[in-house]
Amino acid sequence: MNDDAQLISQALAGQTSAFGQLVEKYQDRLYNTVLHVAGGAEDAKDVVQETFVQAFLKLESFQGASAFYTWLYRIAFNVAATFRRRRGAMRTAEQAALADGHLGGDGTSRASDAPGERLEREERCRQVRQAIAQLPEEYRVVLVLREMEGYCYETIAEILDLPVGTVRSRLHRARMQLREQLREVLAVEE
Amino acid sequence: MSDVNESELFSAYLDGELTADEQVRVEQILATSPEARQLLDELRALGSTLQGLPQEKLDEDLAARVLQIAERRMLAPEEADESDLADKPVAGRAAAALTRSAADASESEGFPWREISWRGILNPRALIWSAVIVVVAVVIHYTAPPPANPNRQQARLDDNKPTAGAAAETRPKSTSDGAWVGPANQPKPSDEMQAKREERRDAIDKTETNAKTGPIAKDIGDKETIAKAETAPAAASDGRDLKKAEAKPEADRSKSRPDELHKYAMKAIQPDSSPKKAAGKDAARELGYGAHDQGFARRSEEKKELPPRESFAGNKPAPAEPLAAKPGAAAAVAPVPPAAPASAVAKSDEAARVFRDTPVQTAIVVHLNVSTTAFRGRLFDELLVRNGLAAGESSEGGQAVAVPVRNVQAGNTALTAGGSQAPLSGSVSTGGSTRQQVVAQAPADVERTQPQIVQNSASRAAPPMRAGAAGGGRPASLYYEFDASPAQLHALLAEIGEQTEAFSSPEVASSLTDTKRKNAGPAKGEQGFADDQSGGFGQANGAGSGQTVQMPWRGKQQSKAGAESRATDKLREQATHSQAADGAGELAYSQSVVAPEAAAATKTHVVVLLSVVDRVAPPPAPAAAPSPAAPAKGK
Repeated sequence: MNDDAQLISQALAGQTSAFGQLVEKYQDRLYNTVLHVAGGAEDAKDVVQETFVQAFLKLESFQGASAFYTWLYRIAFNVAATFRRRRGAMRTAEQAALADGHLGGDGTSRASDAPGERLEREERCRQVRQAIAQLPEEYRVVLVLREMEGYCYETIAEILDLPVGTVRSRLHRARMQLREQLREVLAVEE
Repeated sequence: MSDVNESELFSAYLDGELTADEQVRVEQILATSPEARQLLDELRALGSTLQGLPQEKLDEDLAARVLQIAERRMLAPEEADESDLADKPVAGRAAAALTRSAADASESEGFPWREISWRGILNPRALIWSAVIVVVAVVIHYTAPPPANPNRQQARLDDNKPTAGAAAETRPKSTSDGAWVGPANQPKPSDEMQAKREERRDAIDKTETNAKTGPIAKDIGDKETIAKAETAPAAASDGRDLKKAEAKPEADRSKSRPDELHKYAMKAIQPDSSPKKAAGKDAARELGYGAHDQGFARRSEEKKELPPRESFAGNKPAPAEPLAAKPGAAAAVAPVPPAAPASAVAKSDEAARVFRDTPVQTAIVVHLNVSTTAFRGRLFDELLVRNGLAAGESSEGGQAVAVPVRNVQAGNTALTAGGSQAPLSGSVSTGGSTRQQVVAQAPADVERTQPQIVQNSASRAAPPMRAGAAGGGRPASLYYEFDASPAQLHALLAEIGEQTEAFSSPEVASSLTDTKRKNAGPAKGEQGFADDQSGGFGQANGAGSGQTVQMPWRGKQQSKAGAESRATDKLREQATHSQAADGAGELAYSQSVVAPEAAAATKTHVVVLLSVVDRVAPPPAPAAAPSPAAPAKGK
C-alpha cells in the first residue's frame, strides 16, 4: 500500500488529518497545473480548493484503480470547466491571468542576477505564459498535463476522458501553435 | 515530412509514445530530411522552455480550510456551496470570500487575517461591485418597511394573555373567530386534538402549581410561560408600548403572529444568542419550540435549587397527557401514569442504578427528518436533554454544556475546526449511554443486527467510526444511540411529534413485528408488549426469525439507487401495519412500542437516525376521517 492509499484509508476511517496531509502534498502541484487552465491565480486557488473539497466529499467513491492524483486531476478539470462555464465569457483565461498578475514574472529571480538578465528572463516567462493562455482550451489542457506534469498519453487520456489518439493530435497541434507564437523567444534561447 | 500525420509523429517521438513501427518510420525520415530534424529541434526547445517555467506555489495551507468547508457542506449542504461562487461576479466572489473568512473566523479563536485574499478584494472591479452592493443595501434599508420591534411584539403577546397561570393560552391555537394561528406549515388540528392539547396543558398547569415536585427540564418551558403570563401585566406597566399593539386589528394580529413568532422562534433556538434575540426566545417558548433559550447554564443554576432531574422511568414523571401531536394521532395514544411522587425523586440514585442494571428489553430504530434550522439549533439534542436521555456535564464544576454539533463525527471523518480528530467528543450520557455521531451516507457497517446493538449497549463502547462519505448536496444525518425508559421515549416522541416544522413523523422500526398485536391497537397491546419483548430479542439473537433492525434510510438510499432491499419492504410492511384503522398513523405505532405504562424496569435501546433536510414536509393528512364532530382540517 503506497502512501496515498494509506492516507486515504486513514481518512476514510475518520482521520481528518490524513486527508489534510494529502492536501498539503498535492496542493502546490495541482495549483501549478490549474493555473494554466483556470487562467488567473485567484480562480486557480478557488478551483484547487473546490477540488479538494469535492475529493473529500467523494473520497469513498475513489476505487484506487488509478492514482489518487490522477483522480484528483479529473475532479480539478471538471471543477475548472464548471467554473469557466458558469462564468461564461466574462473573462478569458488570458484576461484573468493578466488581471491577477499571473503573467507578470517568473518569481525566481536570483540575487546574483544582473537587473537586465532578470528582466529579460521575466519577460520571456511572461511571453510563454501568455502564449499558453492564448491556446484553445482543449490544447492547453493537454499541453500542460504533458509538459508541466509529464504525464504519459494514456494517463492524460484517462484524466480527460479522451482517446489516446486525440491526446496525441491535440498535443501536437498545441505544440505547433505555440511554436509559431514563440518563434522569437525560442530563437533567442537557442 | 509529407503531411500532418507525419509531423504529429515527431511530437509523439519526442514523448516516447510511438509504436515500434512508427519509431522506425520516424527515424528513417529524420535520417533523410533536414526539415524534420529542424522541427524536432524546435519542439525539443519548446518542451525545455515550457518545463523551465518556474513553479507557482500556493501561499497558504488549504488543508484546514478545505476540511472546514467540507464539514459545513456535509452538515448544511445549502450553505457555503463553493460552486455557487462561480455564479457570482468578481465582487460577489470577493464578498463571499469575506463571508467565508468570517464564518471560518467564527469557528476559530481569532480572525484569519492571513486567509483573506487582499489582492482579490482590492481588485478594482471587485471594489466597484462591492460599492454597488453597499449602495443597494443602503437603499433597501431606508426604503423597506421597518421590521417589527421584538419588544413590542412580545408586549403584544403578553397582552394577549388574559390571566396569570393561563399558560395554555399562550400556545398556538385557534382564535375566537376560528382562525388557525399555529405555525405556517402546521395544519390546524381537529377539535378533538385541540381538546386533548388543552387537557394536557391543564394537567401541566396543575402539576406546576400543585405538585411542584418535578425538576423536569422538559417542563421548564412551561414554567417560563406561566411565569411570563403572571408577569405580563407588570410588564405592561413597565412602560411597554402596548397601545400600538392593541390598536392593531385583531385579524391582522392573528395573521401576523404565527409567522413572525415562528421566524423569531426559529432564530432564537440558534446556538448563538444575543440580546436582540431575547424577545425571540420568548417567542420560541410561546410556540413550544424547545428550551434552547433557557440554556444549559441556566438549567445548571436551576439544578442547584431543585433536586436532580430524573433520567429514567423509575422516578421521572411521565408526560401529563398522551401524545396528541400529529393529526389523527391522538386516538390511539396510550394513557400515561401520573407523575411520580417526590419520594421517588429522593431515591433517584438508587433508581438510576436499577435502570443501569436493567437489561435492554428491546431495540428500535427511529428515523427522523430534521429541518436545517432545527438541526443548527441542536433541537434534538435539547429534546434528549429535556427528557433525561442526555445531559452534557463538563468536567469543570459540573456545569452543563451543550453537545457541540461540530464535534460529532461527520461523514467519513471526524471534523473539527482544527482538523483534528474529535471522536465522539460530543457524546454525553446520564441515564443511558448516549452516543452521537454524524453519518452522511448509510455505510454498510451501520446496518447492524440487533444483537450487535444490544452488545454495544451492554458494553457501552463507542461504535466504530463510520466509513461514509457525503456526496455534494446530500443531507447529513445524525446517528444517536441511547437507552431509554418507556416513559422517556414516550415523552421524547411526543415532543418530536409536536414540532411538526422541525421534525418529520418518526418512523419506528422494531425487532418486534407482532402484527396481530399492532393491528389490535396499542391500547390493547401495550401492556403486554414489554412482556413479550425478551422473546423478541431471543429471536433476533439468531434462534428465531432472525429479523434484524434495519436502518430505514438505508433502505431508501438503496431504493433510490435501484437496489431496493428487503429492509425497505419490511419497513413498508411495518408502516402499513402501523396505520391504525382510525388513522392514528405512525406515531401511534411508536406509542405501542414505547408504552409508558410498561414496567418501569424495562429499557429500550434506541437508535435514532436524524437526517437533515432543508424543510420538513408537513405531516400527512389522516388516512381516515375522524368523527364528524371533529373534522380534521388543513391549515
